[in-house]
Amino acid sequence: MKWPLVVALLSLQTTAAAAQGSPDFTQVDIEDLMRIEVQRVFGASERLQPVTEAPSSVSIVTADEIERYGYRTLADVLRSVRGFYISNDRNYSYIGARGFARPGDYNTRVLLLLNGHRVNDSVYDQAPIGAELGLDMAMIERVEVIRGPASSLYGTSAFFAVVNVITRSGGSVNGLTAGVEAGTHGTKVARVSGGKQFANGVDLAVSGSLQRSEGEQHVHFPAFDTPATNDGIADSLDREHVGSVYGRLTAGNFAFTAASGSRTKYIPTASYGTIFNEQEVPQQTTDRRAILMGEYTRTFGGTRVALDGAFDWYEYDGVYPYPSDDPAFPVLINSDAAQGVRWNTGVRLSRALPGRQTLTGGGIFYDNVRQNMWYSYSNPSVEGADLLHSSRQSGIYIQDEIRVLPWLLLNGGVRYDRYEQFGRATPRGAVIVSPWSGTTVKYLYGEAFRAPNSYERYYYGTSPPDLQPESVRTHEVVWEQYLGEWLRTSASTYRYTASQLITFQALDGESETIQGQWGFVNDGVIDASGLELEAEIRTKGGLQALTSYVFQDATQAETLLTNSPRHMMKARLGVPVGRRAFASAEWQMTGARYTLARDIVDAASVVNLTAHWPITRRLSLTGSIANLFDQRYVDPGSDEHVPDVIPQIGRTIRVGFRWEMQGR
Amino acid sequence: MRLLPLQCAVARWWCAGLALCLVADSTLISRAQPVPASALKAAFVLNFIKFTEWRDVDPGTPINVCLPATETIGDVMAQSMRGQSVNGRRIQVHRVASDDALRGCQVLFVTERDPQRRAAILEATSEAPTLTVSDVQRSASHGAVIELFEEAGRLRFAINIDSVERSRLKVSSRLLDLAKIVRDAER
Repeated sequence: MKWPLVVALLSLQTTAAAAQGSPDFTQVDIEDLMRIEVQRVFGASERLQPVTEAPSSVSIVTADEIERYGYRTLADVLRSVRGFYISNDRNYSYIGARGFARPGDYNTRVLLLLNGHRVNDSVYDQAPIGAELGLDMAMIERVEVIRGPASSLYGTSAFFAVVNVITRSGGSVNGLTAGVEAGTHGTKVARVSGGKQFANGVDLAVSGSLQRSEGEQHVHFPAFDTPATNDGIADSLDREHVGSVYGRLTAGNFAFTAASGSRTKYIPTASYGTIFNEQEVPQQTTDRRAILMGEYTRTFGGTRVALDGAFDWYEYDGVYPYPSDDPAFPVLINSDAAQGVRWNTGVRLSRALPGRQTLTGGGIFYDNVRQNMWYSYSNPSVEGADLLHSSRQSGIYIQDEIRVLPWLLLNGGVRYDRYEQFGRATPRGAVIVSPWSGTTVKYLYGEAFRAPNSYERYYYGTSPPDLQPESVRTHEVVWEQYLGEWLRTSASTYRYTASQLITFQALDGESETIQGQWGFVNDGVIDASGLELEAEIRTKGGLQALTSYVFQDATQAETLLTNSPRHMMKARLGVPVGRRAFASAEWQMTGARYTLARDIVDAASVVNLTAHWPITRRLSLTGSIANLFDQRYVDPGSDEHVPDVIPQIGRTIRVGFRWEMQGR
Repeated sequence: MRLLPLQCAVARWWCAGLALCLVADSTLISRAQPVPASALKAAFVLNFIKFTEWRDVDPGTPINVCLPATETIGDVMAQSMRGQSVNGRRIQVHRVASDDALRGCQVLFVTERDPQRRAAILEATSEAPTLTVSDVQRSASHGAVIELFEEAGRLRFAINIDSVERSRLKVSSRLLDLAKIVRDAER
């Protein structure tokens, strides 16, 4: 690697920029001003602020980019972002961040927010980043990816990153849109949306979408390659059915959002020891969720007050076919289910104080009315278990931002979370220096925690009652450099220690072969460090390019973690063609990774293409090819899988039409 | 760790490309800064001044631009507007609170989010020759002369022609061409 060279260049460039001085853009013509993109971020400190002033390293993916690069799920969006990688076990997608993506863990260490509201469910704490999110991608205004720990604002799960999805308003949808897509693997998509901002200020957006895919007809698993198990081929077991509805209404000081979705996925991997290639009772999971939320915002004498309340409903149903000795019933069906119901209410206050301070504070209360899990067996009927739980949790936080000097910003905050079993305080601090226009250097220190969830605490009935939260401490230095209107570069380096990790393992002194004797315990310390470089170009003509390189080294007991690539490279290019058409290409390289069996999975390179052609003023044609070169790469699997690696889907093509009628 | 030969080649190109970008930095002339939004708004306000005429004011006298005293956006805007001049007239920046005498302002930037308090400010200046600019939603249809709003990630602006008439300002047609035109909302 060419580190010394790159680092030397970085330092050279500082001096150059210093000599150049602050550019005067007050003389820019108004037409040009209207073309400059405003990038602001909400989630980093719970108030809208410029990206450069956020106490984190932030990436923003806009609706325009989602369209240009053909991102089909939130997982695709995260894949495109510096430092993130996604593993897929053909059931769910899992986020890797800062070199950590332990196979078998759900997405519990990244907090997913929808318009600032927690989406991670109340049973598994899982951030749904696949189609199980239940929100059509066309309804996303932008995605803010906020790196680093943020428990000081958001509490549990804001461990490695926070992903805040901002949805579209009626004014943004502005009219009617309908779209259909068809693709390889029997993929069909239909979506419709409408929105308007009325003259009286009321703003309404609604949308619905349906999606079906047969998936890969034949998925080959060498680990099952025997005549008795169909030579290792899972037939027609990759299908996915998705439906979603969304609405947002803003009137006066009130805003309401409602989103609901359902997703069923067949599972070809025969995970958890189920029958391989079972056709009568295919292994499958269904996730359904509904979110209803309301927010009231007003300013009282210089204090901005936001009151919010939300209701979350989440349901999971799994069907797992097991081999049976009973000749009358060759397949024993295990039904596994969970239901998480919670409501929450919160208040957030922010006020500008004399001495150039901005104080933000608030409190939040969650009532997890149901955190239920069940399992039962039928065919023959065998009794299972009903694990019915509920809990409450609350948190209060305060954050102060002081502009000490025009070029120096200090930011500090702390949050205290109270659970039924424990309390936890998490601090965060930042020093943000902008020595001259266009340059920002940030030093960030943060802590975060993740509370054991209902699944970890109760499902196996073996976890110790005093299971503690896991925690992380992170130091980070970020350097962002804007050069003119069109080029942005950034370099950042971090180091963290995560400890007391909640880990599924055989309990002390017990045999490792009986499931009942496994459980979740606090065990394991991770030491990691990383370096991230990024450059982005946006020209006035509409050309966009983004490239990044990430080196990460995440170890436990001085051994590189499983599923932790040391190198990642990404590049993408979007080019306008003519006046309204555009084409784009994206390349993502994930370096070699260890599997659970300590084998090495080779580095994988994937190239995607997307294009968009307007046919008439209202009708346009879109097309995308994911994994253009049909790379047959694999992701490391988890303990629940017999194969050590899970083959990933090859080339997929989608073509569609979109009809739009612009509102006035 | 193993890298495939293809990846090695790509990695080299990537490093070279990034290095090129970084070198290129130092040799290029910067134009407008893309962020923060507050600085961008300041640039918009300067342009609005360029295309507005105040009657009964001697040319050559400074233009009083009033920015909110308590908001961070006021700090950033003041920083970028101080020392500027437009059409040969010097910009004089004042930081004001909402209960100050606002009628001396030729330009008033309103950030007040509370509808009642905002209405009071706009009411106080509605018949004065004050160019009221606000970044609050629907402020133009409720009395402000110009409203800055975000659309598709970019800043645009709306002009209330009823407010223009009341203030007796002369707003250039070039500005009106670029603006979304609104009128008073029915009360």
